[in-house]
Amino acid sequence: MPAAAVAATRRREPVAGNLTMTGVLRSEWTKLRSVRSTWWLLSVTVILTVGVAVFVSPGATSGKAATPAAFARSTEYGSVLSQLALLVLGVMVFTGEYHSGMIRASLSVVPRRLLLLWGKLGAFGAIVLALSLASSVAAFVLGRLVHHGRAHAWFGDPQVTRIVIGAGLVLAVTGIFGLALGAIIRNTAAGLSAIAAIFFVLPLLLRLALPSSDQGFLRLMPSNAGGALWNAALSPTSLSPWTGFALLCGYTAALVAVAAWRLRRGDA
Amino acid sequence: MTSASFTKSPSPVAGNLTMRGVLRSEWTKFRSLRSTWWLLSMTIVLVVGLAAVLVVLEINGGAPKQEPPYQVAQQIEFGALITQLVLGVLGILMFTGEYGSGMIRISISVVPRRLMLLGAKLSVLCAVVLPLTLVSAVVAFLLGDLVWQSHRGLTPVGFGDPQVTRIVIGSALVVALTAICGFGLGAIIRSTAGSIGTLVGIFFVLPLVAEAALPRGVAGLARFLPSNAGDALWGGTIGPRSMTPWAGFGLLCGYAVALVAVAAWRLRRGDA
Repeated sequence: MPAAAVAATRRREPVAGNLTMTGVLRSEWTKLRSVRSTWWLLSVTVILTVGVAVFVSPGATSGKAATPAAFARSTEYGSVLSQLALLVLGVMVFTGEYHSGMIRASLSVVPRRLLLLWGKLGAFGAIVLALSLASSVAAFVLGRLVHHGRAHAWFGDPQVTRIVIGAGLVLAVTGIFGLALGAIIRNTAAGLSAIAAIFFVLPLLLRLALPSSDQGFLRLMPSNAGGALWNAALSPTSLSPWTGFALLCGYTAALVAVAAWRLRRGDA
Repeated sequence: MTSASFTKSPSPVAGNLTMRGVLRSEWTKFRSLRSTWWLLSMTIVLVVGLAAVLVVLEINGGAPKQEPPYQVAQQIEFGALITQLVLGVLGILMFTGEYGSGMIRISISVVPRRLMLLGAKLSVLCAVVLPLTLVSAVVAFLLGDLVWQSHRGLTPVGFGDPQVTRIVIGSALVVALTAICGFGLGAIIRSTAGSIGTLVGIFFVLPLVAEAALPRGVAGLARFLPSNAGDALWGGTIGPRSMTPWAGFGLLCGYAVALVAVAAWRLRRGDA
């Protein structure tokens, strides 16, 4: 009897009081890992990055002994393919929820919308960064072991280190680029088409179609800016490595800011 | 009286199932989606708009006076590369849109003959996409040629040159076939994201990776990639070797037929 009275007076804390960043991160991590497509795409990322290094690309530098940097770059070509897998994964972090209607539950449970964005960004960013760095290092190490006769490239060479780590960093930032764009566009098909156009189709189209005098700005496109960090820009001219990477980070930060603004100000 | 109504049993559902009716229902579904109109209008705007823009840029960039006609035609039609993406997505959405929304369950209940459903969807897609790409490629060419001629000193191109005709018509055909490849992929994979990722990977990323990463001995294999096979017809392949125009086009047709065949098999044999 008195127990009931105690229960009545001891009011439960309001929901917002329970809302901690740790909790949101944990729930986002649960969502991320309980979707089948996550594991599909993450495995594809690793398989493509490492597989191309082991089975295909270092052969492209065959013939004369390749420079260490050229060899290191050739082991990382697979990351261009796995970029696509991580972009798809990133886009779907938000568009998947909008499609299934889950976003309504998510925003009801985490009414502080930016907290939700940071939670998703944190969970996705952490796993993608760890995975892409691990796979770019694994690609180089395994490629080096399998094709040991091709070049004397190892981590001592500063260029080699930059290319191997850089390919992983670019891969991770690209995934976050996809997440932010998905949060802005909110539709899987449209978000993926936009991503494909920005990263793959437009650079190709413009490189083929523009007269060479107009191709200078191609180095500023996100894919080429990122490519600059690991010597893989497809534009005729290239930014310096860290400038290019900074520009890619800048684009990504700008998209995240727009996503935050839209999520906070607009209807969900 | 009552016995009359008993003997006249309603004909079974399958008896009402005519190809015409299925075509009409697919057409209704197709035209009542917003995404259809977005993607179709983007196609026209991109092909025609890019034609004018790219020609102007080429002229300002100091085009040679005697640029061969086929190069001018290619320059005008380069927009086809991006409409491959746009209409490829349209093709993908024909099936994945229904799988995403659950509509596919209704569609297959109403049209239990699954290949009929596939055939009707494919017909609607082709009937819209093929005329659209052909008309927009021709309009783009006429406009681009007009811009080209209006600039003093440059030789007009015109349709007379057989290579020019092949490039203009070819770019349209390749885009339409890409849409059919997308249709097949979507029906096989059934997820929008998975299908778009696969299409982009095969058509746009693989040629780039193959160009950079294939060892010299086997680099020629890149010409058999769907995008490079199709580009042989009009745009030029990325890589050291190219197929002949119509052989390349034939191979792309083969890929499209194979994808649709696998889709038909999966739709008929598997669970939906």
